[in-house]
Amino acid sequence: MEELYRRYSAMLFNFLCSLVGDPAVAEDVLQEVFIAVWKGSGSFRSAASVKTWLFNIAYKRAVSWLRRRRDLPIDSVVAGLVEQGVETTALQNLQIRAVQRALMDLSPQHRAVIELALFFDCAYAEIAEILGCPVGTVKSRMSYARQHLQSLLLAGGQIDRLPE
Amino acid sequence: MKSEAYSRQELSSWLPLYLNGSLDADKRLILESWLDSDPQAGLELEVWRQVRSALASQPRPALSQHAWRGINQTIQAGRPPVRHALAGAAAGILLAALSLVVLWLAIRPGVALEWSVRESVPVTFRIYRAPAGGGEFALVKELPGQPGVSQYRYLDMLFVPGRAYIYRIEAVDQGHVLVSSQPVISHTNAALPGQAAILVSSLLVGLLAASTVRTWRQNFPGRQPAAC
Repeated sequence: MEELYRRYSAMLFNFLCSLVGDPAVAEDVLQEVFIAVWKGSGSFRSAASVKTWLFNIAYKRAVSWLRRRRDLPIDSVVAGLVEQGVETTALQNLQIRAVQRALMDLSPQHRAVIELALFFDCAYAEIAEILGCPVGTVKSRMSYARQHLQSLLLAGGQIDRLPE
Repeated sequence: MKSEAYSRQELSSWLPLYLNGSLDADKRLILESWLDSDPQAGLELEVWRQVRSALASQPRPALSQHAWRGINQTIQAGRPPVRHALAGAAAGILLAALSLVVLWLAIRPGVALEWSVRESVPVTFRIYRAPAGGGEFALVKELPGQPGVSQYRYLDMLFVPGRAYIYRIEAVDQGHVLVSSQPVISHTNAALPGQAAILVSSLLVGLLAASTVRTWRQNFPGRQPAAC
């Protein structure tokens, strides 16, 4: 268990932070994840990789936490993380901050597919297994997220509009 | 294969995989040709590039050193019931098997055949068995004769419970059959109570052991009984 924690806790914590938006909550959820792993280690299917299995548990726990906190608007939950980022990276260019804010506009489900694809470098089949949905759903979430981000980035001038 | 073979939507879905390196070589070539031919594709790739760059440079809070302590404390505080049950089951199976072997060897439930010789002792006794009501006799055991011993006994413990058998014994000396006994019929029902008693006793021993070990582990999570 300690070896699993040593190897995967940092990346799971990053993933959870992006979903729940609050490092303190992400840490609590991470503890729930490892305790769930310890209690149900028999549920591991050898066909899945350990990483996929852990991310799947983390995703389910994060979604469950977000559902319990439905009374809080998601934006206010994730705002803390954005503000923390802004404060600690005052010299970062505006373009990156604009994209980070645009990402926070997305739902946790859409942020999850983007994080998994572009930060954790997962293939679609792996993402589908983590999220417990068909590959087609992963692709459609990516497509929706891209259209949303593209329109925000075009409006903000972060990317150039194509000539008519 | 050319990019025209794929829908625009499909090609567009490959763009994040192109950036994260999980797109295979063939699809990379197809995608690159699409990127060269379609300016909109380049715009979409640029969106994903910026997202990837933003994610990479997003500050990531560090995980506190206390997180593992909390998990470890929870693990130490209580062992999950499934582990207790597994340990109990293992101990139960082990003790039940041990009890079965010991009782079986001690009681030896079976069909007993007894015979005696009056004059010279033959070299070997051959014991044959056939199912009652028809069937071939089959050799089940060869017993050596012993000088000075006139009483012999054989216990048949390998039979189908509830079935009747016919037994025949041959006295053999230097390859020649000296004498063959009259066939005797025996019903194995006589051995059943003994066998059932052994099985039930072993089962009870196993259940008792499983329950004891499970309770022990629940009450004393830090200590393990010697049987495990």
